[in-house]
This record gives sequence, structure tokens and C-alpha cells, in this order.
Amino acid sequence: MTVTEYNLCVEQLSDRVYRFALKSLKDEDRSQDIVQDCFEKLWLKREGIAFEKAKSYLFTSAYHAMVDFWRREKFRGEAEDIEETFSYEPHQYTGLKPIINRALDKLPEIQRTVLLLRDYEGYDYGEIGRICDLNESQVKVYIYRARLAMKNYLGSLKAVLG
Amino acid sequence: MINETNYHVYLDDFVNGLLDEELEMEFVAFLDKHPNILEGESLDSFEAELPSGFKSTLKKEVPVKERNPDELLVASMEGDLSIHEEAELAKQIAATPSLQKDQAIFALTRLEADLTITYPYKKNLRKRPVFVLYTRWAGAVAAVFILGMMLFRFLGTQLVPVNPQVGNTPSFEIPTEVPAIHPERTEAKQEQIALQVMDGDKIKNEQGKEPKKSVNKENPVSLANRTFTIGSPELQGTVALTTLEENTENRNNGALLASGDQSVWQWVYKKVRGRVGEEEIIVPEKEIPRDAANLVLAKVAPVFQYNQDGNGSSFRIGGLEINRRSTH
Repeated sequence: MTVTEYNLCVEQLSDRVYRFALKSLKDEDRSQDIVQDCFEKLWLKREGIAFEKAKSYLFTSAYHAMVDFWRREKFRGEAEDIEETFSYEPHQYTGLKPIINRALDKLPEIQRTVLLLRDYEGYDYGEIGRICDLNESQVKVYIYRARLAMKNYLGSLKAVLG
Repeated sequence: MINETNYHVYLDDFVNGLLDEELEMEFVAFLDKHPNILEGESLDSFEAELPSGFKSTLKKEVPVKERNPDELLVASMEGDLSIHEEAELAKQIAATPSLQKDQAIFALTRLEADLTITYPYKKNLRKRPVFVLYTRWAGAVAAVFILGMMLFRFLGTQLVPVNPQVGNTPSFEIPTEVPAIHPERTEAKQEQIALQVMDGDKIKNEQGKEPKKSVNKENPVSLANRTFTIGSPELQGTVALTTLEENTENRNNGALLASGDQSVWQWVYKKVRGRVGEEEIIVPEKEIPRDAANLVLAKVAPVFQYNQDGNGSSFRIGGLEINRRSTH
């Protein structure tokens, strides 16, 4: 990868990697650190990474960094128990988008990740599997479960709100 | 690790819903890789207990109307259904209001990126290719420049200078020996004489007139800035010669100022500078002993000649040789 191609990656992908990390972690500082680390790695290894593979490399690096973050957070006992907190909170209802975001936040990390990669980046099952170390069937099931959980959450809200 | 030899154990737990999430995922993946492995199994006893969502996983050819509607709706969203399946699902949705509602809610789960969220330090991530390029080019240019300078220095000592003002090549007659003015000096005493041609532009005053010369006519000993006419009265530039004697306690400096034509001077200046280099310049002192002045005059006069003919001006300045350290 040339320097020009690297800079092109910065232009085209830094925002996307940042959104992916921010949506997954909900932590701006940590997400910014992850983006910086990913591009630093990309720069150091640019000789061995083709421009076409840069996007996959960046998202894979970001995902691994996020997994490390989640593990540390869980170790500290700060992670939320998804099942316990998956409940309707009417005082936070300010519009459809925040509710969808709330439903997304309620998902387990792996489901949220594959769904973000699927919808934000348009990756197919195989590409998502390579990024997240899953096989295609697992990706497919995770996506199904994620959408089903969100649908149930949104459906329950609709029933409550009429 | 679920494989072909132990999958029976997991199959029972899977059917009974006893597998945890990880194992369940692994089992589904295993079945996906081995779609025919259950063909010999008597699944009929399990059929009633199988979750409807997974029936389609185990059996690919289940009619659409018998499959889990949520799974179908998600599969439709993901583009995993065949055209035939899509058509059947559409019929089902049209006939079932609850499916329409579910489909609408599923559609909301399609995430859209918030494009207003941008990485704020993008500028810090960029690298500068120009700098790298510049460094490479700078190295190459520097190498070529140094090579050129070395070549120029080498060839410069062998080239015969051309008088751009006259248009022909002047003849240089470098004296092999500088006349000995002070025979009493021993060989141990070395004399160095440097020739300096001062920049005519600098010595011109603002009105473009010849600058005042600080001629001390009252004191014949002082020759500083005094004008001499050598070879031709047309000389109007200024040439200063300085001598210095080494190995003496009192270093004597002598200076000769020779006026000359501006164009002639420019030519001389180039010749002198090209031959001796600016490092040879010695600034003359104001008070110069007579002996030193005489020495300079004597040394310069024979080799400092100006001639003018139809071809232009020619300048003989064999005295340039005296810039080389000479030993008497």
C-alpha cells in the first residue's frame, strides 16, 4: 500500500471505523483510541497489506480491540447484564431513532457487532465471519437473533405506547 | 468440539433445548457443514419437539408456510430467500395482518449509520508523501550538486577564462617568478600576497558617481584607498592588493588601489574570484608602510596591463599568480 493509498483509507474509512467502535462501545475516548491504534497498525504494516484489504484489516483490528475492551470491562464487573437490563424505559422515549439505538444497545456484544457490520458496512456473512472469527452459519444465526430481539423490544414498546 | 463421532450427544441436548448458546451455535454450524448427516437418523421422534425455527435449518426443503415466520422475514430482509420463497412469503404476508405488522417492525431493525458522527482527529492520521519524496529528491540533488561542484573545481583550474566584454579570449601570461624587491629577505621569510577586487557596485555611491576615495595626499606613507593608474587611464574600477609578511613581528600590509573601467573591473573580478576564491580576500589596512606599498606596486605593475584595440579590451593580470603562496 502506498502512502497515497493509506491516506485514502484515512479519508474513506476512519469515520466508518469510528462509528463502528462508538456504536459498539458507547465510549468516545475509547473509540477514538481504537481508531488511532488501528490506523497506526495499518501504517506500520502497510508494505504487507494491499489497499483492497485495508478495510477488512481495519475492522478486524477494531473488533479485536473492542473484544479486549469488553473483556477488561467484564473483569472489572462493570459490564451490564443484558438479560437483566433488557427492559422498557418509557422516560427515555424521545423518538424512534433513540428507541432503535436503545434496542441495539441492549443486544449482546457479538450480536450488535455482526449487525453493525452487516447494516453499516454491508458485509456478507463470510466477511463478517472473517472479522469476528465466526463461521457463516454462526453469523447468520447471530443476525437473526439480533433482529428478533430488537423486533421483540420494539414490538413491546409499540404495544405499550399503543 | 462437535464432530461426526460425538454429535449424537449434542443432538439430544439440542432437541431438548439444553445446550448453552455457544454449543447451540456450534451445533448449528456443524449441521450446516454436514447437511446429510441426519439422513440416517430417526428424527421423527424429535420432530414434534424441534423448535420450529431450527426445523428449516435441519431440513432445507420445508415449505414456506410451515416455516417460522420470523425466520422467513429476517431471511427476506437479508436476501437469503429464493424468488419462489419470496413469492410465497409475499402471499402469506398479504393474507396475514400480523405478519404485515411484524414485517414493519423488522424493517425498523435495519440500522442506518449516523453520518454526522465523524472521527475528529482525521488530520492526525494522515501521512505526508511529499516529505518522503522531497527527502529522496533532496539527497539526489545534493549528490549531483556536490559532484558538479567537484567537477567544476577540477575543471575550473584548467579552463582558460573568456572575457565576455571583449568577446575574445585574453591571453594570460603568468610570470614564473615574481620580481624580488627585497633581496635581503631570506628564504625563511615567506611572503604571501593576496589580490582582492572589490565590488564596483558597492563602492559606487547613490548618485552612481565614483565614490570618494580617502586619499591621504598629505601622508605619502599611507596608500590606503589611493588611486593608481596602471596601464591605461581608462581604468576606473578598484583593485586592491594586499600583502602580508609572515614571520615578522609587525605584519606589514600593503594595498594598491587601481582604478579601472567598470566593465573591465567586472571581468577582472570574475577572473580573480574564480581563481583565488573569496577566502583569499584580505581587507587592507588604512595605514600602509611605504616599503610594503612599494612592494605591491613593484609586483603588480609588470603583470597588470590593460590594452584596448579594435576587438575590445584585453587585460593581462599575470599578477594573479601572486595569490598563490610564493616563497622568496
